[in-house]
Amino acid sequence: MNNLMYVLTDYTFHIVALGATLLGMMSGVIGSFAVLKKQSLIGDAIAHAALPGIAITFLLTQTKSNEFLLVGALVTGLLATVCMHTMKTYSKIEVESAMSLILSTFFGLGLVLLTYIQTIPNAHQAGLDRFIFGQAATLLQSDVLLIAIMAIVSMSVIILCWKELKLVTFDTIFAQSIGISPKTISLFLSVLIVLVSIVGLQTVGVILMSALLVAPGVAARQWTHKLETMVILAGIFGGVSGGIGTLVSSLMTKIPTGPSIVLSMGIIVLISIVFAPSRGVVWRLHHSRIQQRRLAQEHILGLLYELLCQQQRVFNRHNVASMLQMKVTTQAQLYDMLRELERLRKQGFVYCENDQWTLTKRGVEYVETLYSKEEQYGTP
Amino acid sequence: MKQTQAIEVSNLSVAYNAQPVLWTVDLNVPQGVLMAIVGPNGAGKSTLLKAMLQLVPRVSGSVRINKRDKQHVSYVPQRGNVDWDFPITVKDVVLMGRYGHIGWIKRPTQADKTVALQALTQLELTNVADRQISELSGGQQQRVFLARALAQQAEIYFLDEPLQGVDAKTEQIVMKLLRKLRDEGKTILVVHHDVSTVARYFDWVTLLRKRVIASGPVEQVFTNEKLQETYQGQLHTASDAGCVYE
Repeated sequence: MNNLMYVLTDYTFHIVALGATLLGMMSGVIGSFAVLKKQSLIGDAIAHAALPGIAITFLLTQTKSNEFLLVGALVTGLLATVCMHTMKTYSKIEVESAMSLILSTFFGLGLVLLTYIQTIPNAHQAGLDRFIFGQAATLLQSDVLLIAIMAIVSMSVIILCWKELKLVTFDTIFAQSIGISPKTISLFLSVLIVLVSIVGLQTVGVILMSALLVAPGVAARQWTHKLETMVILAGIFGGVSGGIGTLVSSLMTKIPTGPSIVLSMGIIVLISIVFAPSRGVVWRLHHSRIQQRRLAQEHILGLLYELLCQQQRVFNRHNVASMLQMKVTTQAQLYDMLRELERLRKQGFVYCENDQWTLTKRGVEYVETLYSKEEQYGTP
Repeated sequence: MKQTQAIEVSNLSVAYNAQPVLWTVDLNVPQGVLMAIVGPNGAGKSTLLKAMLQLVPRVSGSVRINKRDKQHVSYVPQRGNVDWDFPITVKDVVLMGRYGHIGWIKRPTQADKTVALQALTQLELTNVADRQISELSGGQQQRVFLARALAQQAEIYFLDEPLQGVDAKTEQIVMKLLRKLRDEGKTILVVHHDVSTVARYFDWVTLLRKRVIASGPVEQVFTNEKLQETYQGQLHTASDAGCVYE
C-alpha cells in the first residue's frame, strides 16, 4: 500500500502516466477508423516504417536528440503512407499485401542500418533501440506537452470532419457520388496515423504501436452499435490502458511500460470479446441455450394441444414419447423430454395426474396466443 | 412536344482490360420518365450507370447530364458493397443522404432530420429506424438505401437492380415511390432484372447488349423482335417478356 502511495505521488509517474493516457486515448480514437475500414495493418506498417527514418537521421546528424530523430521518423512514415496509397491507386496489389510489403521492407532497411550503426565506433546503438521497444520511463515534460498538443489537434480535426470520416469509412461509393473524395479522406486519416505513431514511438515503440491503434477499437465495437459511442469508448479504453499500464509497470520493477500498456489493452479486449452483451461469447451461448429450450417447450405444448383437441390424454411415462410422436430413441433424449415437461409443469402450463400429462387452462391459452401470433406475423 | 433531355449520352464506350463492355452507346433520356434498362448478363447495364456518373473511366464518347449541381443526381448501387456489421443505424444511413447538401464541417440541421424522417416514412421504415443495419431483412436493407437516395432530394435517380431479391411488399413500396417521383417530374433510370415486369412498371425502356438495341417508350420499343435481338435466345419464349406490343 505504501508502495502504491509512493508511486501515485511521484512526479515522474505523473508525467509518464499522463503521456501514456493521452497517447492511448488519441490512438484509440484514430485507430477505430482504421479498424472499421478493415485496414488495421496500416498502423503497423507506418510505425515500422519509422525505423529507417530514425537510423538515417542519426547517421546524418550524429545526434540522439529526440526532435531530430522524430522528424526523420515522420519523413519515412509519410513516405510509407504515400507508397501505400500509390500502390493502392495504380497497381493491382491487394491493400493488405501492399501494407505487409511496406512494413517488412522499411523495417528491414531500418534493422540493416541499425546493425551498420553498431559497427561505427563511438555510436551507442543501444540508445536507438529504445524506439523499437519503447522506453516510456524516459518521457519528459516536453514530450508529454507534444503528446497533449497532438491529442488536442487530432481530436478537434476528427470532431470537425466527423461526418466525412463516417461517410467515407462506411460507404466509399456513395461518398464519391456526392462529391466527397474517399481518397482524400483516406490519405488524411493515414497522415493522422503517422502523427500519432511518431508521438507514440517513444512510449511503446515501433513494434507495439499498432496494438495501441487497433485494440481499443476492436474492444469498443463489442459494446455498442453506434459509431459515436464506439469511438468514445475506444478513446476511454486506450486512455485507461495507458494509465493502468504505467501504474503496473511502476509498481513492479521488472516490467517495462510499453508492453505493460499493451497487455492491459489486451485484457480489456479479451473481456470485451467474451463478456459483452449481445456480441460477447458468453451472452451468445447463453442466449442460444435459452432459445433451444424455448423451442423444445413450445413444440411439446403444441403437440399436447393437438392431442387435447382429439380428446386424448398422454399416459404413463413410457408412452409419453410415442403418444407425443416425438422421435425419442435414446434414454437421454427421453430424459430431456421429461425434464422439459417437468419445467412446463412448474410453470403451470401442464399438469400430471395419475401419470397422465395434459395441458392446464393456462397452457391452452398460451398455445392459442402463440398460434394467433404466427398467423399475424407469419412463421419465421 | 419536345421534352427537355435530362441526359444525353453520345458514342460512349467503356472497356475493362481491352474487353469492350459498352460500345458506341447513344442514349437520350428525356426529363420526367421512369426508364428500365434491361439486357442479358454482361450487357453492361451497371457499367452504363457508372459511366454516366463518371465512376468508371470511359474509352470514348461523352455524357451530358442537365443538372444544376452535383446534388442533382442520386445513385443507388447494387446492395453488395456495404459492410453490414458497421456500427450504424437505419436512421443514420438515411441522414447521410443530406450530407451533400450540408457540406463540409457543418452539422445536420433540424430541417435535414425532417427530410430524412419523411424519407423513412415513405419507405415504411419508421419502426426499424433505430436498428443496426444487419438486423434488417433483405428487402428492408434495400429500402434503407432508397430512403437515403430520396433524402438527397435529387432530380435524377440511378438505381441498379433495386428489386433484385426483395419481398413482394418491398417491391410494391418501391415501385409506388418511383411512380410518385416520376409524377413529380423527376427522371429515373432503373437497371431492371425482370423482363416480365417491364411493361407493367415502366414507361420507357432501353434494351442493352453492349450496344443500345433500342430505346424509347415501352409501347414503341418493347417488341418481340427487339427482345429477341437483345437476348438472342436467352429468353425461352417471348411470353417470358410479357410483351404485348408488336
